Amino acid sequence: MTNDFLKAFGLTIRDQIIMKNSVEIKGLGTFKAEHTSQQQERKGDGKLVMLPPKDSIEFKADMGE
Amino acid sequence: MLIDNEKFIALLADNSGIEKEKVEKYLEELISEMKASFDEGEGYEVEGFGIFSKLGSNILFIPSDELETEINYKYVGMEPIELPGGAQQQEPEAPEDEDENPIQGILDGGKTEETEEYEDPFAELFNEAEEHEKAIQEQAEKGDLSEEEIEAVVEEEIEREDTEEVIPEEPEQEEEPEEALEDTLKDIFGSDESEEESEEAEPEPEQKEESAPGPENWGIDAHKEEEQEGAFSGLLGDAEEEPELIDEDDIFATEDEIASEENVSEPEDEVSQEETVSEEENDEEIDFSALGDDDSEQDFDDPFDELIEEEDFVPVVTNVSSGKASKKEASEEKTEEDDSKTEKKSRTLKSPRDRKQSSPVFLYMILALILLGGTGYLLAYFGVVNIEGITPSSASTQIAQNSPPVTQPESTPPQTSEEEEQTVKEVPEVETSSESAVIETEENNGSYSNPESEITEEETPRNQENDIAPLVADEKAPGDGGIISPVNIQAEAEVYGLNGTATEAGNNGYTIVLYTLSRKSGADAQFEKLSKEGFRVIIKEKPSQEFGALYRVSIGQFESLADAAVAAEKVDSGILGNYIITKI
Repeated sequence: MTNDFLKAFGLTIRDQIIMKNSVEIKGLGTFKAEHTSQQQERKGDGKLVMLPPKDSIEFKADMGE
Repeated sequence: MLIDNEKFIALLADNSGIEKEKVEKYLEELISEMKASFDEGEGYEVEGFGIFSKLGSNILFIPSDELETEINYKYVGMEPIELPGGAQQQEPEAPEDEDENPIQGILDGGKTEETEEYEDPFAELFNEAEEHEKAIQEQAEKGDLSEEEIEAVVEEEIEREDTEEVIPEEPEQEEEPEEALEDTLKDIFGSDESEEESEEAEPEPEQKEESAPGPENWGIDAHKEEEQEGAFSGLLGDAEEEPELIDEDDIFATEDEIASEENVSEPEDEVSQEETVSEEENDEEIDFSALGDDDSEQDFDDPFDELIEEEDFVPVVTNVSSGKASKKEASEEKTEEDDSKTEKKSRTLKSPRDRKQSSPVFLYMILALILLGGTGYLLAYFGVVNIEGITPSSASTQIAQNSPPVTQPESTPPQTSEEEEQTVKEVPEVETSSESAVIETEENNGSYSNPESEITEEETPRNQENDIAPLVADEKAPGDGGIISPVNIQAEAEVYGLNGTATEAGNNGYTIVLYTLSRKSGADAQFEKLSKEGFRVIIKEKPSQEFGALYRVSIGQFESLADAAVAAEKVDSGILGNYIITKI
């Protein structure tokens, strides 16, 4: 296992997530893109804040192993 | 789209350039390494990607900051925005996120809305009070409203009063009519305490409407003030108004009592007039109220009454409310309000008038300034006063002529003196402009053939086009004093010619100027180079106002301009480049 491999590992998953694909890795789990659209949120001090949209990466462990 | 293990390995192989089998092997290694670290109770970090860690039986993945930002690249620069006015905008918060919305739902559905509803109106009250104070100050300072604006404002205000006073009464009437019916007698006598408490919340919705942000706020503040006074007095005065609704019923029920009460109450002018004038109207209204006990009808009555009231049909309103002294006070307040409005009108009307009166003064001042400017310009133009840039050049050139010679005529005297020695008559005439020179040379030297003159005519425009030409022409230095280059003193040498060495006698003629250089070294280099080519090279130092000293490199000495032009035609254009022919 080399550094190149690790880099490529991260990059590949990232690219697929950006493309809204989910990536399944046997024995590890599944990476999934989650989109959070913009939303309003009320802060503790009563201010109403519009949060920007956001993408996040979700990981679900492969529990079979 | 799901990238399964196979596809992932293929992609990974592509991206890394590692063979597929090796990739599979590496991946297994990676996973086993992870598990090993998990077993040791540690997380496993893939650099630039994130941290895997085991929590219980689950594996958590915490993406690194880089990964997060890269994923969110398209949303870069979007930051949370604070929204104005919270409470009403909560509804559009459609639950989109599974994680956060439950919390929001709790917040929204629960206490926050209520508390905010209670909080906000008060805040607005305070804000408005401040706004009004400011508005009053501003108006006092500025008095900026024009007549039209005021009229518009007043109209708006009337509309507002209609709408606003109608709307807030609805809740009152929903709540209170029964109680009010019970307490009518008390109300008639003005014991409002019970209602005051319930009504405390009422002015607030009014002000909510008023506080709606808009361009109106600016102009209407002053009138808001009145309304607010009304609102505050509404804590007392509304209570007085409400019984009015009840009163009608009561009037319907017990006309006599009320009549007696009216008589008992202070016999003011209004009351007496109203009673006499509009008893019929009163009856009609009673009929209305009798037909339908609906509060809504009464609601509709009120605005009309107020409209009428505004139009000096005061008796109707006061008649309705004349059932008690307090109502009279209310009407008095209203009339006072009207008075104050009219006063305000008159007051505010004054200011624009003042302005209008003041505007001619400005006009006069502007006119005076223009006149002053014009006269000044004329004076300067005719030379009475000397102002740079305006006074015509004739005046200034007289001064300028003392400065170093720029114009050609000045350069002539020394040349002519020399030329007289040489007894060449045409030269001083020729010198001024090349074209005239050509013509004159043709006249004087009849020997020249037409084609040659054509050539010279062709060349002379070229000379004019030449960039250096004007510069050099202006710089025609007086005399030959500036010539640095060596001169052949031998008598045998030809006086004029393109080749050989320059002769002193030839310096009264013309030369083909190739360069005008700012450095002497460059001029010397050119001298050497051209001398090797066999040319008669003349370097002349010319004082320049702009560049200091300039060194003019020219070849040949010619008796006339035409000679120079003919010679120039024969010289290799590679050497000549852009040349001009001028006097030495």
